[in-house]
Amino acid sequence: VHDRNARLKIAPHVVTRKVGEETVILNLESGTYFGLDPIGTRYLDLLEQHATLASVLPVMLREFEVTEEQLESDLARLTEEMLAGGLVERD
Amino acid sequence: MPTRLHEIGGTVLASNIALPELLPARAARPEVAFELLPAGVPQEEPEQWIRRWDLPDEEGRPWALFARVGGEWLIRFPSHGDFRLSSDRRRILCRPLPGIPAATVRHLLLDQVLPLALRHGGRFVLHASAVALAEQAIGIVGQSGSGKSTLAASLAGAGAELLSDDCLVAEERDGEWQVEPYYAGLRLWPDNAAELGVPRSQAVEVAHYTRKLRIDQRGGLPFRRSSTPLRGLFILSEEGDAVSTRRLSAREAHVALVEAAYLLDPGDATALKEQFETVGRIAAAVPCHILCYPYRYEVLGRVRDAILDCLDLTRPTGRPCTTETPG
Repeated sequence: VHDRNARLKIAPHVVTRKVGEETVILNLESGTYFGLDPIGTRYLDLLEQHATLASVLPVMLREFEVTEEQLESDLARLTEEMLAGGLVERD
Repeated sequence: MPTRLHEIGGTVLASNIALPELLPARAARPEVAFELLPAGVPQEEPEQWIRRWDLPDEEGRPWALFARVGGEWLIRFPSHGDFRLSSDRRRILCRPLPGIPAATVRHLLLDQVLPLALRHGGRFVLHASAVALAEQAIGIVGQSGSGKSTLAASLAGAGAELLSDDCLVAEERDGEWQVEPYYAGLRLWPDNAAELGVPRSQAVEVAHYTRKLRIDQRGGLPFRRSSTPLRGLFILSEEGDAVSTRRLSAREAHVALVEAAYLLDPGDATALKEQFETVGRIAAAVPCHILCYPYRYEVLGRVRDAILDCLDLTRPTGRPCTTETPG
């Protein structure tokens, strides 16, 4: 289970490209591509500024109509996927 | 041996052998040079093969192997011979195995090796067929055996002009992606060619190891010789029993097109990054659709209609569309 207070940063071997409200990410080490929908894109943007899931949560709760429990669960799962894909790493 | 100048994918190709599949060049300065060496057995083994291509119907034996040797790329087709590609991708040498026919060498050059060499100078090369409809190009993207050439031939039978069988070369000029004609030939299985009405007498064998036939202008298919603005990309899928299309988001298109792009070395971070940017620009500029249909001849007419429904040929950027008709 992801620690909501863990500090995260975008991995240095990753390039991103915004396309509208969505994002495509390329891991240059593995050659693997990932796509983020608008919610995932917003999360990555905010993560760059605030570094932890805990500090991003209140901001996104104001922007999206979703319960805190659901949003935290979704973002924790996304974080685990991004960690596994080498897109973000613990700071 | 005299040098001949040919035109392919917007590039002037110099060659020490005749390449009858290609048209003579209209410009005099070659950008890529091909040289056929005397046949022989490979004398050296690279330290490491860093990539291999496998064909779906082969077990274990690689179709092609890739290695870096002295700054060059060595591309070995174990059953056919070696190609060497210079680091700047402007020089290609081929040493075929003894007994390999010239037609097979030309096929390997034009359909396998050259697409890897042309991805320079800002060009983008996609594993796709391309046709022109009303002066506007569409690309048909799909894996080997997915029916790209058959669909392209079907579109040609309904008035489109062929730009490429399997290698879509696009170049961005003045903010617009232009498809450059590849060569005037379409590779079809004999039953596909017969079904599409191409007489066997007007087709030639592609290579000695395959039953596929190459259809050129003598086979009645119209080929286009000028570059054409790219207005749509269609990614083939055999899902479902109906003919349907769905417009992809730019993110979905970006990821889908990367899978179909020619890339010599997926481990080269610089090349990956460059491709990432290029594909992103295409995905943002050109409408991209998933085209689902059961791969059967009798639905090709409806597939053509579905493609036309997605293209507003009076407007330069096409329009979003989602359609479904019974299969």
